[in-house]
This record gives sequence, structure tokens and C-alpha cells, in this order.
Amino acid sequence: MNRSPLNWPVIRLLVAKDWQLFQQQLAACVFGGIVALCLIGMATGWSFYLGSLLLIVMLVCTSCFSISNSLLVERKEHTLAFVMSLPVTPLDYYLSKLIGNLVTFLVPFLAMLAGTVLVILYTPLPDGLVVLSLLIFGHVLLAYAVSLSVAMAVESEGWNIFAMIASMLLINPLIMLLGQIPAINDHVKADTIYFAPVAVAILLAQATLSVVVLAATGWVHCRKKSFY
Amino acid sequence: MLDERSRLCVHAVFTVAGCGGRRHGSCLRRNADGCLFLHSGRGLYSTKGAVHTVYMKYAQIDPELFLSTSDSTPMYQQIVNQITTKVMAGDWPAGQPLPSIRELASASRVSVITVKRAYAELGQAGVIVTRHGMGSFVADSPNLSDSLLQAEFTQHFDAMLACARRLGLSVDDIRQLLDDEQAHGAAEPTRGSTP
Amino acid sequence: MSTAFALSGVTKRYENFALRDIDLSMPEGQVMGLVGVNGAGKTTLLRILGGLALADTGTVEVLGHDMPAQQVAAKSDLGFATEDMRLFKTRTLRWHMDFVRSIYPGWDEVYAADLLRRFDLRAEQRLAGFSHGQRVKALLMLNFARRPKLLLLDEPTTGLDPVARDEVLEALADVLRDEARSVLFSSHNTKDIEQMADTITFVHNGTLLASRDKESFLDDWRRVICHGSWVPDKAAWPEIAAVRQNGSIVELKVRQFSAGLLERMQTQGAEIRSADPMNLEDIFVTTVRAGGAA
Repeated sequence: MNRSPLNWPVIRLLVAKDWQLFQQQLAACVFGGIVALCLIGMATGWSFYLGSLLLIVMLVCTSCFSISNSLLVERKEHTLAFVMSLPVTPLDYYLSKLIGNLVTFLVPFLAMLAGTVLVILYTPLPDGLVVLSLLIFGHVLLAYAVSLSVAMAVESEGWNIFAMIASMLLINPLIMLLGQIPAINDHVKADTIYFAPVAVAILLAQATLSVVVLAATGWVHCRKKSFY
Repeated sequence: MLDERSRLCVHAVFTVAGCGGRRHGSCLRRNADGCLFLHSGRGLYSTKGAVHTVYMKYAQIDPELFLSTSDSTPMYQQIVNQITTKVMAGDWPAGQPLPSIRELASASRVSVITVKRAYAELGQAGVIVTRHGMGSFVADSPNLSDSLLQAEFTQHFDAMLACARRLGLSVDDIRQLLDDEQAHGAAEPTRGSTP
Repeated sequence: MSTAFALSGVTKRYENFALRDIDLSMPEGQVMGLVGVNGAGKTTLLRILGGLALADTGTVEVLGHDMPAQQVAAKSDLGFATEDMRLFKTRTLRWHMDFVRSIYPGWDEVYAADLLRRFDLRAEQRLAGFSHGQRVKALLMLNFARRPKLLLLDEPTTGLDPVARDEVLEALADVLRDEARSVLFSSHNTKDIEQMADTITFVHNGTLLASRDKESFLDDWRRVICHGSWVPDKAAWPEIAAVRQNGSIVELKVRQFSAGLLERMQTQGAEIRSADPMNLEDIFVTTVRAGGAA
């Protein structure tokens, strides 16, 4: 169907456009993330819990803002028709959204992930927390991929909000579930980092699922019949 | 032998020299071998040899016509009427290149096809001539304004006859009306009015 | 002569509406006006040509490119503005101008500045503060300033005040100067179409009622007023689209006018009082009411 070569210059411009439109909220999220990391780093009981909560809130905010700004708002405000009237194919558009979102999401996401790992390693916090943190971040990534896919494939705003909230809220049962797995739970408070096979398996599953969901969305998107 | 364009340009010079207006058409004559003589007018006279030295362009004319969408006259007819008026008034002298169809359409904000139609009608009426690949020009006819007036008269005359038929007036009745008109002068208004 | 676009056998179904078997093409350098009531299918037609909607069946060619396979090439030379299209609220018009300029090499900054002045727009203002008319003009300006080969405009003058409408028509008339550029536009305002279009296309209920050059189209229609008791039977007079009678006055709307027709009417005892040209609006309404081809 779309045999024309990818229009990279325009894709790059569209990514830059999404980045510009997102800048302010992005800065706010990163700032919130830094505050959260400071709280975690204080390594007292209350500040650790407050910091963790704030960090997760910031991660969720980043993902929701990123998706809603680039996809939901574009559709709702009818700027989508303007973008699709530019010399792009649906595949170009999909790629620009994918790359744009990954940039706007992954930049703060990775910054916060790196910050978390550093905080854990360089403060009195037990280093074993790194594995649990990675698993939680992995879940946020997967939840983000699912929300992004739904946002691209489904036009209904209600379903989009549902997908975002539901996938992110699943973080609670996940943490509880991880607490039930001795191979993971037993090492959380240890001072050494131990990647149990089950932890590695979950991480791999999260990463693979994220990629599969996004790829499937691309396939669906290119078979859509209207773009406005 | 001169090509078409330089012939037209000679016209331009003539206009510049002050022989514009309605007599303009009679200022130029072609001799047997196709060369030009400019005569009459205000003493400007040129022959074969001198023609090339007076090569000049026509002044740029404003292509905008004043057309109205609320006028019940069809758009093409408004164009025909206005160009005819301009030609009769001498605004656009004989030989004057007309704006291109697209130029006039754009300036007057009317569709290209309407201007095309107007130019075709003007061509048929002999007001303008269209030369392939060169555009359209105001026709060279020596008595252009007379023939236009003649056409206008014929149109009114035909309309009058049609109206008279509807009223059931005979030729004699009309003749009588004309005689009355002549007797009373122009002051007396005619009784009949078109419905 | 190359075509600006060609649709052949195009069908597009929605839940409550279908565009059916559209065969339509337009030579380069022309202006075509789409006339139709709300929901007739004008916007869908424009979206299909603009690559924003895919036809279910049929072939679509725009500026010599197959749609949707070669839509990037087609869209590069296409200007597209629909009534519901919006720009980015949080950005200024200047930002949009730079954005469009970076995508289209044909962007003409001098012309853009000229249009800004003529449309009375402020480049440094954010779109959020624009009125409806300013938004429409901004969108048109972004399209006009890159001089696309084919402009697809959905209701470009709807909702504009008279002055803004006049400015837009003036800018649209700029396009006429270039014989390689074409325009397809829809409007509720048949006056705009009557003024600017070379070809008129009537769309109704997802089908084309007529598509013809404007001059011969307008020429064929006449409103004839006659006196007398003769009222034509429409089956026997296919040239007549509508008949109204009040006492001895009969009003006829004729879709295929000729001097011969008047003579035939006279032989039936009709006394012709007038035979005047009709405006496009009248022709359109008569066509739709008569329920047939124009």
C-alpha cells in the first residue's frame, strides 16, 4: 500500500514539533522527578515512601502528557488533519508519532531511571532495590506502550483514558505480586544486586511485549481508512 | 516587411504623439507591400525606413474591470460591455494589446472561462482581434465606434419591433409615432413603455 | 492537457452516508466549484483527493500521482484546507509559517508577508487568540504562500465577515494568473462559485448531479414567464425542470433553453413575457427539487 520511501526530513520535523509542544510539561515532570529522587535519597522511612510515590506519579504524568499532547489533543483539536495534509504517508505519521513519543517519554523516563539507580547505589539504601526498581520501571514502559497503541488505534477518548489509567494502576498489583516472589523479595533488602532468573524473565517479557504492541499498532494504523 | 509586433508598436508611438481617441484607427494605413504609412494626425509622418526607429511599447493598462455579482447582467456580458465602452471612449485605442485572459480574470476576480467567453464575443462583434500566440488586440477597424453604435441601435430597434408586435402595432402605427416624435421634438415622452 | 485530478468509480461508505460511483476530473489550470447541501459529500470528496480518506473502491489520481500510493509526491504540490482543520493553539502564526516553510521548498516569504498584510494578521500572535475568521485566513495564508499546484478548499469563505470574504476571494484570484495552478473549492455561497469557477459540479446525496463548464451551464438555464392558460406537462417537455402557476401567470424554469423551445411554447398558446438567465443558487435549488440531472 505505502510503497513510497519514508519521508525522513518531514518525520524529523514532526518529531521536533512534538518535542517543542511538550517542552514545558516535560520540564515540570523532570523537576518533579528530581524532587522525588532527593526524597528517596534521604533514606529515612517517610521520605523514602513519599519519594517513591512521587516518582511513580511523575512517571505516570510523563507518559500521560506525552500521549495526550501528541495524539489525543491533535485529534481533538483537529490539528491531525493539518499534519496529515503535509507530505507524509500514514506510515510516516506513525513513525513520527512513535519516535516523537519515545523521545518525549524516554528522555525523562531514562533520566529518572538512571537517577533512581544512582540514588540507590550511592546512598545507604540497600542496593538490592535496583532489581525491584527496574521491574517497576519496566511496567511503566509496558503500560506506556499499551496506552500509546490504544491512543493511535482507537479514536474514542474514553477508551484512551481508560487504557492509560488502567495500565498504570496495575502497578499496585504488580508490586504486591513481586512481593510474593521469594526470589525477588528476599533480595530487596540485601546489599548486593541479584538478578533472579524470574526477574530477568519478567523484564524481558515487559520489553518484548512493549515492542510487539507498538509494532502491531503500526500495522493497524497503516490500514486505517481515514486520517482526520 | 514588418512583423506583426512592430506594426502594432508603431501604433503605440502614434498614440503617444497625441493622435489617440476615436480617430486613431484612421491614422494608420498599410501600403501594397505591407509596409506602413502613418498619416493625418498631428503631423507625424513616417515611411518604410523610419518605422523601426519608433519602436515603443504601449502604455501598461490597468486590467481591472468593475464587475458586480449583484448585477443581473451576466458576468461575461458585463465584461463585453465594459471593454466596448473603453474602446468607444478611446481608453483602449485600436491596436492596444488587451490584458491576457488570465490577467484580466485575476485582476477583476472573475473566472477564466467567463473572460474567454467575453473575448470570444468581442471578437465576433469585431471589437477585438485575437492573434494566435500573441494575444488579443483592440480591432483596427476604422469605424469601430460607428459599427458598435450601429450594433447597439440594431439591438434596440429589434427590441422595439418585438415590443410593438406584442402591442399589436402595425408598421403604419410605428411610422405615425415617429412622425409625431419628429413633430413634437424630443421633449415629449413616448407613450409606450416596455413591460 | 494534463489533469489536476481524476476520480474514477470512487465509492466511500460511512455508517450513515455513502459517496457513490464518482467519476470526475479537472484539467490543469481550472477552477472548479463544488455546490451541495450540508452532508452532500463535498468534504468527503475533498478528503479523498487530499489523501486524508481512502476510497473503498475506484481509482484516484492527483496531479498525475496515484493515490494513496504516491501521496507524498501529490501532497507536496497540494494545498488543503477544510473547515474543521485547526492549527496549534499554543504556537504563534510565525511558528506555523516557519514550520510550513521548512517542509515546502516552494514557500514564498515575500508573498507570505503580503498575504499577512492583506489578511490583517499578526504573525507574532498565538493561534489561541485568533477569531474564527482569522484562523481561516491564517490557514489559507499558510497554503497560498507556498503556491501549491492544486488547492483543495472546503468552504473557504464560510463564517467569514464580508470584508474577510472579499480578502480571501482576492487572494484566490491571484491563483488565476498561473495557468499551471488549479483550484477545487466548495462553498455554501453560490455567488462565490458563480464568480470564480470555470466548472460547476453539483453534489447531492453522495452522487454527482452535474459537472459542466459554467458559461454553457448558466446559459442553458432560463426562467421563463408566460401568460395564458397553457401549463406544460413535464413528461412531454423534458427541457422544463419546474413549473409554477398562479392565475394566468406561469413561471417555468428551463434546463435546456433554446429559441426553438420558445417557439414551440408559443405554438401551444403561451405568451412569452420574459426569458431571463438564472443565478447558480436558483439553478441548484431547482435541480435538487426536480430530483434529476441538471
